[in-house]
This record gives sequence, C-alpha cells and structure tokens, in this order.
Amino acid sequence: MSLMYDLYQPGRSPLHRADPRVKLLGVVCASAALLTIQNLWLILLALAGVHGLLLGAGVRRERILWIWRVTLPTVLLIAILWALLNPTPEEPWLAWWLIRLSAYNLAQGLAIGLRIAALAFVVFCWLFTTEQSDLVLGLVSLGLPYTWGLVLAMALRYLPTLGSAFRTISEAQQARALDLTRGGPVRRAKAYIPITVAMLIASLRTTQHVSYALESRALGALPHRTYLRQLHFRPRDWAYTIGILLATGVFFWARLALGLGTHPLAL
Amino acid sequence: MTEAPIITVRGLRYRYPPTLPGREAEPVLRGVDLDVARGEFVALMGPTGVGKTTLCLALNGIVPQSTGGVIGGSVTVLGHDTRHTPVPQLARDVGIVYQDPESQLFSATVEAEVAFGPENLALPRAEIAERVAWALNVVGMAASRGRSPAQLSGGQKQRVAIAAALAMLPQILILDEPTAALDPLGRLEVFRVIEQLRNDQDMTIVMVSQDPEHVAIFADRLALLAEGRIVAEGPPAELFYALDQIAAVGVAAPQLAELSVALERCHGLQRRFMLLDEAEATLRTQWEPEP
Amino acid sequence: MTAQPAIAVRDLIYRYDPELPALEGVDLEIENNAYLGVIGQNGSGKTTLVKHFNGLLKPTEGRVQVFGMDTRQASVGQMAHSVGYVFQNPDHQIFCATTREEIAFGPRNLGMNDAEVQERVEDALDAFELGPYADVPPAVLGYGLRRKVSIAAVYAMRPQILILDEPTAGLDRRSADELMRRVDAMHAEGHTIVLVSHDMQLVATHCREIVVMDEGRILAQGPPEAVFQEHEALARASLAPPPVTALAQRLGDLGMPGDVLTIEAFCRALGRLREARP
Repeated sequence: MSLMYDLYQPGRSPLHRADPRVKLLGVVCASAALLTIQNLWLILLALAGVHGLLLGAGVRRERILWIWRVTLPTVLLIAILWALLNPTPEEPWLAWWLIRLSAYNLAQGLAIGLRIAALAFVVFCWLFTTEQSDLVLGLVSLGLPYTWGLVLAMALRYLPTLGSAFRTISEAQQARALDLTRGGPVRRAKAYIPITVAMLIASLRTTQHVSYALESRALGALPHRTYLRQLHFRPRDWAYTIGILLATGVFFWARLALGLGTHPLAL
Repeated sequence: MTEAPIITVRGLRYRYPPTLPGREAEPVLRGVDLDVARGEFVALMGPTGVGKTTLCLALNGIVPQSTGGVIGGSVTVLGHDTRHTPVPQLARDVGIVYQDPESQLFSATVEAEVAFGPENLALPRAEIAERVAWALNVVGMAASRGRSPAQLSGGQKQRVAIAAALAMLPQILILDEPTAALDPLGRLEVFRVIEQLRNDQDMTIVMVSQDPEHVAIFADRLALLAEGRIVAEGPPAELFYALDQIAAVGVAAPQLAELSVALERCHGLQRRFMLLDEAEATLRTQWEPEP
Repeated sequence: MTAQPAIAVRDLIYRYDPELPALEGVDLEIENNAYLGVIGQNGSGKTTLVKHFNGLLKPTEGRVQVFGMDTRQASVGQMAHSVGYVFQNPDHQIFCATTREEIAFGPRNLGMNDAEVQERVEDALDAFELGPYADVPPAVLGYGLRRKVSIAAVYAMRPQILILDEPTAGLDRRSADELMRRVDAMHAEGHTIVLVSHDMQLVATHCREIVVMDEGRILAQGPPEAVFQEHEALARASLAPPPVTALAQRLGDLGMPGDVLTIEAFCRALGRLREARP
C-alpha cells in the first residue's frame, strides 16, 4: 500500500553500493555548494546532474515525478514572489507599484526556487539509494547517538503512514458532509480542523504503541548494542571521498576567486 | 509433583493515570489471579475494554513501568517481579505481539525488523544472523527478508512481528489479538504459525482472542476476563458449552458448540462438539440409518 | 415497471490509484431498502467498490448512480445527504471535545438548524445508549464505545443509504449483537444497508443479499442461502461458509439441505429430516 512512499529503492548501482558516509559527505558538500550560488544555468546543470544520478541508479520515473510534484508548488511560489518583490539592478521591463520585473530578477527568482528542488533532489538521492539500517549505521559510526539515528529512521518510516492516515481521515470527515472546497481561505482553513485534530489524536495513539513495541523488543537493555549489518569502507569509497572533496575545493575556489555563480544569468 | 508455574498473577489491581485532569480513571483490573504452567497455551477472552490488553502489558512490565498509574497485587514471571524488573530486561523472557501490525513494525526491511531485538541485547553478529534466519524460517517468511514490511499483507506482517519476538528466544510469548485486524486468509496464516509454535517449540503462550473457533482448536485452557477479574477458567472443551456463563461475560462460543447445546434442547442429543470434523462424526453415528 | 434502485453500478472500472486495488468491470444494482453484504479478502476491491457509493472515488470508466444521480456530478459533501459511510477505524473520524459535539458535527454540516441538530443528537445518544458519555471527550473512551460513537455520528445524519466497513471488528459478541440490532432496526425503518465484512456468520445472519468480490470483480451474488453453496466461487475468494452451514453441507448425503444459515435453521432442518424418516 505504501509502495508509492517507501523511500528506499533497492538496487545494485554504484550509488547504492557506495558507503552511506560517503553519500552523506556528498549531500553535505553539494548542499553547501548549491546554497552559495544563484546562477540559473548552474542550478539547471546541477539538476540535470542529479537526474542523471537517479536514473543511473535505476530509480523509477514515477519517483522522480513524485519529487517534482512535492517541490513544485514551493519552487513556483518562491520564484514568483522573488521575481515580483525583489528590486532589480537593471532597467525593468515592467514597473508598477512595488513591482519591478526584469530578466535579472526573473532568472534570480527561478534560480532560487529551483535551488530548493535541487536540494530536495540531492537529499532524496541519498534516501532513495540507502537502506535505512545503513543510514542509521552510517550516522552512528560518525559518532551520533544510536537513538538519534533511530528517530530519523522512524520519522522516515512513519511519514508515509501519516500520509495515508491523513487521506483516510479527510475521506472520513468528508463522508460526514465536511466541505473542504467552499468559502474563503479562513473558512477553508477552519474546515481542516476536524482532520487535523483527528490526525493528532491518531498519531498520539500510534506513537504510544510504537514506544511499547520498542521497549518490548529490549531497546535500551544494555548501554551498547551490536549490529547485524556492517559498513565496509572500500577503496572505491576512498576514491569517491577524494573526488567529492576535490570537486568541492575547486568549486569554492572558483566561487570565491572568480565569482562563479553570483550573477543569475551571466557565468 | 508438577513444576512451579512460569507466570503467577496474584490479586492484580490496576488503575491507569487520569486521562483528564481531576478525573480519576476507573480501575481496569480488580483482582486478577492467574497461573500459567510451562508449555501451556492459555487463551484469554472477555468483552472489549475489560483489561485484556492491560493484563498482557502487565506481564511484560509496560504496566505499570511505562504507563504509570496505580498497581496492587503482584505479577511474577520466571521469578521476576514485573513491577520492578526493567522492561527491556524482561523482554529477553517475554515476547509480545500486538494487535496493530503498523505500529510494531518500525524498520525498513523484514531482516532489520527481526534483528532489532537481538541487536539491543548486544549479541555477536554471527548469532544475530543465526537467530534472524531461524525466526524467519519458523514463521515461513525467509524468502521476504529483504522486503519492506510496508509491502506485505496483513498476515505476513503479523508473522514478521511474531518472528521479531521469537528472535529474542523468549520462553513466553504473549499475543494480544494478533488476528483482529486481518482477513480470513491472514488469520489462517497466523494461526498456522501459532499452531506450529505450540507443537514444535514448546513455547508458553498467552493469547487474547475474540475468535472462539480458533481458541477451540489451539488453547489448553480458556480464561474469561470480565469486570477486571478472571471469572471462569477451564479447558475450552468444557467452558465453551457453558453457554449461559459465556453469554453472561459477553463473548462468543464456537458456533458448533452452540449448535450442540441447541441440539440437546430440541433433539435430545447427549454429545457435545465444537469442531467441524467432530460434529460431522457425532451426527453421523447418532442419526445415520444402520446399514 | 421497476422502482429506481438505490445504487446502480454499470461497467465500473477503477484503475486510477496504484495504492488501491483496482476494479475490473463491476455491474451491480442495489435496491432500495436492500441489506447487502460485501465479502472478500483484503485487496479484493470491496472497499474500493463501496467508496464509489458515496463519491469518495469516481469511476475511471463506467458509471455509478445513487438514486439516479451520477456520482461524478456531486461532491462527497453533497452525497453525504443520502449516503452515510462509517469507516473501519473510529479514530479516523473522532475529533470533538465531547460525544455530543461529535454526533452534532454531521447534522450541522448538512445545514440543519440548532433545534433539529439537538433532536438528532438526543435521538442518536438514546439509540446507541451513549447518554452517560455525552459530555466526555470520545477520544478517551474505550474501543467499543469509540466504535459506537463513530456509528452514532453517521446515524444522526439519517442517510437513506448506510455503508458500514467492518462494523464489528474488535468488538466482543455482546457489543457486536447490540450494534447489529440497531443496524437491523434501521433496515426495518426502510434504510438501505451495505455491510463490508470478513465475518461470515455476521453476513449470513443479517444480510439478505451477498456479493463475493475477488480481484476487482464480482464472483458471486445472491441471497446468502445460495451464495454459501457456490463452493467454486467461495474457494476462489478463499472464503468458507459459516460453521453450521459447512456442517449441514457435509451432511448433504443424509438429506440435510445446504442452505442452512443459522442454528435455529439447522435444528428445524434436522427435525424435518427425522420426521421424514421411518
């Protein structure tokens, strides 16, 4: 049932087989790089690159479309607001009231919006190709307490459950003649109260049951625990690490010394 | 001389902490006495909201250690007082399977789910691997070890939950309405596993169930819980025919047990039955014309 | 001339949502004041089918009409005037601070005035014996009571058609019987009842007509006496008749009829059998 939402996509691609710590390093470096640029072309290049990685790892097209569906509203909202409300250093095409529209701030808005999508894609690249126990193990081996890793894994695990509970609850309330489509924004927001409250109560119940289940399976019986799975940092993981660090170094040199990626359109 | 019971419950009283401030909760358990012998299969039946789940949780210490509230009397499991022995400690001896599959399968793969308990016991890797393989085999889910629990059917999910409990090698297995959320096929799957545990693993089992047909087949002893007490206990093959007593508690008897009692009333049948084969054989010998 | 059916389903195909079992061509007519049981394993499409009855799902192909109105023309909220749907898990609908408010929610959404709402609430509290819990938050009640509240809340809307998804799951015999007495009474008052259930004894005892679903299709349909004799269809859907019916069928060679559904019917049939014998 949660097929659509199950994040991990089993596979044997190089991305799947890379050590989760290397992938985490990649996520951190790529995110840091993305956050420093606002050039539309570079962002598009980065997006193309992540799509290449995902497709190369055998992630299904529907999953990629799903990420777009989730991020697109935010991307568009940011792009439009930014383009409309940010002053432009160039001669605007259109000037009306507070609004100054130009190629410059339009490109900048798009770049900043798409940056959100690119960041999401980078993170999903990691989540789609890393089994959750490896993910936890990776974080633990980097010194994070086990419970933190467990909480992250559980959050990922129960997100789809909450999603389908939300759907069922909103169906159940609509079947009681709750109308979610009529009226102004305030009335519509109010219409969501029955769903939100039922959702909250149901989640509390689930949380309680999950915590009983964890305890009855001896969580916290001993100060240390062992792991069935083991991470292997292979030679190729070292190669990836060096590659990622080098690429990041070169990028930041170009960014700082040459001003790469600061202008929304020019390179 | 028989062995001392593996579970001893004496005068157990319990009241949950108030759900609303200033509103004292009603006591759930009002003096439960129950002994369970090693290797015995005890079924627990009773109306909804009568404290069956609470009693289960008291057997592995979650009541009162995690729930708070006021407890009286005593629960002793394998010599441990469950009021004070930490829950994760008790988990080595007492495995528990809950009703809702969704909230007890929290891992991304079947393998990780079953390994979770043994990992918490800090066992060596090789032993964890061995236990995982064994437990998945017992419940017939070995082929699915790499799959996500979310992709399994209800029956398969509950089998994984049973495997996850078994991997701790508990001496006692508590099952709290394990089939209530399942369809008939899933129910059958889970009961086959339970039958196997009972026959081959010599496990001590306490199972809460609303399903008299299956209790009739599996349980050595049936205990009826009502108004916070055990009001009757005995072999299902005796207790299920005491229809007045069963009805007074508000639970169901197997339909064929009801039929055999009704047949006595309207046709003077002297024999009792509650399983299909038994019923067929009885009625044939009773009324089949002599050849 | 025949009366208009309560629900008419024509060539219904549903394949839109990959998370739901598909429907592969369903034809079904539910008469006004029918008492229909829908049985089948999880994933057979029973819930997908009944969710079309109040417009929660719209057909991919084919059409569903409720009292002659195409469900595609109406929102779920509008459909709720004539079709009530009680979900399987009461926690998916309970959200109010008191049971009274919980029950008032539906009638109020239907646009009733305070006096009417008040009357409906009192009536529902009465019918389901929830009076003592009227001012308690329903979320803190036990499972059996939450179940009752969720049904009372839909009952108060007085829908002409009432759909119940596994209404007795998790209930003990006494609460289940009480609940079903209430549902039977609604049927007697003229409501159309659609019951989705795994409990063969329940549908055998209460329903007048049964639909067996498997892999998105209807495998068998008819009165329970007939459907529980369709061994091939039942086997394909992995279902078995209730124990008394199965026993009677096993004794078929002695002259026992195969359409026995209840203990009383079994006793009567056996009586006739013994009388006929020298």
